[in-house]
Amino acid sequence: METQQKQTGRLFIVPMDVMMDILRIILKNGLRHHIEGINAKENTILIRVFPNVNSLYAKEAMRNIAEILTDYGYYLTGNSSFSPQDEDDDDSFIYNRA
Amino acid sequence: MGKNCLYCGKELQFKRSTKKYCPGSCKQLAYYKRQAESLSGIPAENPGTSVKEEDVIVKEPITVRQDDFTVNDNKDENIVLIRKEQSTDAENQNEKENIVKEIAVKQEEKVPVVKTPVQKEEPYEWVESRFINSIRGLIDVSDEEDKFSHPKKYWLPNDIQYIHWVTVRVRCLLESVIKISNCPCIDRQTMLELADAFKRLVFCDLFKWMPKNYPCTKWMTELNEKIQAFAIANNNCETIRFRLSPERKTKLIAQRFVIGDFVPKVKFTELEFETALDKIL
Repeated sequence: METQQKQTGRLFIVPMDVMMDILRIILKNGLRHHIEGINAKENTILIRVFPNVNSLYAKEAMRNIAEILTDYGYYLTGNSSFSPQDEDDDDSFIYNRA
Repeated sequence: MGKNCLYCGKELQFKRSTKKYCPGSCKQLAYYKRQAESLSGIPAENPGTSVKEEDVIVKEPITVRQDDFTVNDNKDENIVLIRKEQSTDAENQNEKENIVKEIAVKQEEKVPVVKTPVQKEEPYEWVESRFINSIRGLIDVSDEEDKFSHPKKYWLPNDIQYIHWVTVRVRCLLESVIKISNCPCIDRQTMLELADAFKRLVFCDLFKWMPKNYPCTKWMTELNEKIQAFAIANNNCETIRFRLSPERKTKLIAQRFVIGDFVPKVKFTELEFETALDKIL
């Protein structure tokens, strides 16, 4: 599971409103990341972060990212998870094939 | 050019100009002296400055031969070593070496080992989102959440059903505005439908009958005016770029959050305005 997490990282849907905060965390802590896709319709990006599992800072940074997104989802939709996409619109991301 | 030994002060005669001490024990003695000074807490002299023997002060009494040195006790129980003038240089060198060694050993025994504190890792600097903090701040300072959480405290039971009807529509329109503000652009039809929905809600009888302490009346009226003006301004455009300033967006999200628990979510396409009054009355 852990190995799998090492390889796959953790996926986040990041809305534009908090994108700068999330990028600040990623860049400040030197987290390896990859932008998987862009959803222009929802103004979000799909970003995969590969934290160093041995680093305490990386764990805290991942918690920090998750908390910001949880709070955003909580205030925007009333749910703790941020899922801005419509139920009938499940493929609105333009994926980065690079 | 002559150069003097940093310890005894004698003139040095070497080809190398980097030499600082006499051959033999001066270099070692200077080392011991520096050690003793550092252990006894006396600040060490700068390199290159000579140290006078009269300045050597030790805190502990030491055994010395009376014929070589006189010992003067002072009030601070320190002992000042004074060299007798008649002693020869060679003897002095040996004695000095022994004394300084003794001082160094004694001081080493006395000085407790100071444990250097283990450096703690710097704590992780938690990043706060300004956007979320703004929303949180708006919710915290307003009393609107309490009104919608405990409506019976603020409104009459008969009024609550009207308030509920209006608030369902307010929530839907708010969510629609927030949603289209995230889109890169919307078509004219969507904008017109949204503007029409706002107009119908704000000018309907139930909205006008809202109690004075109903918190959405003022800002919904203002928002309606802005939406109408925006729709008129972009009436000729096929696609419209609709954006909210961060301040307005945080306000709208905070408003939506406040009424979120009071009314259910309804899709924009399911909104009705005309029949509402008949159904309620």
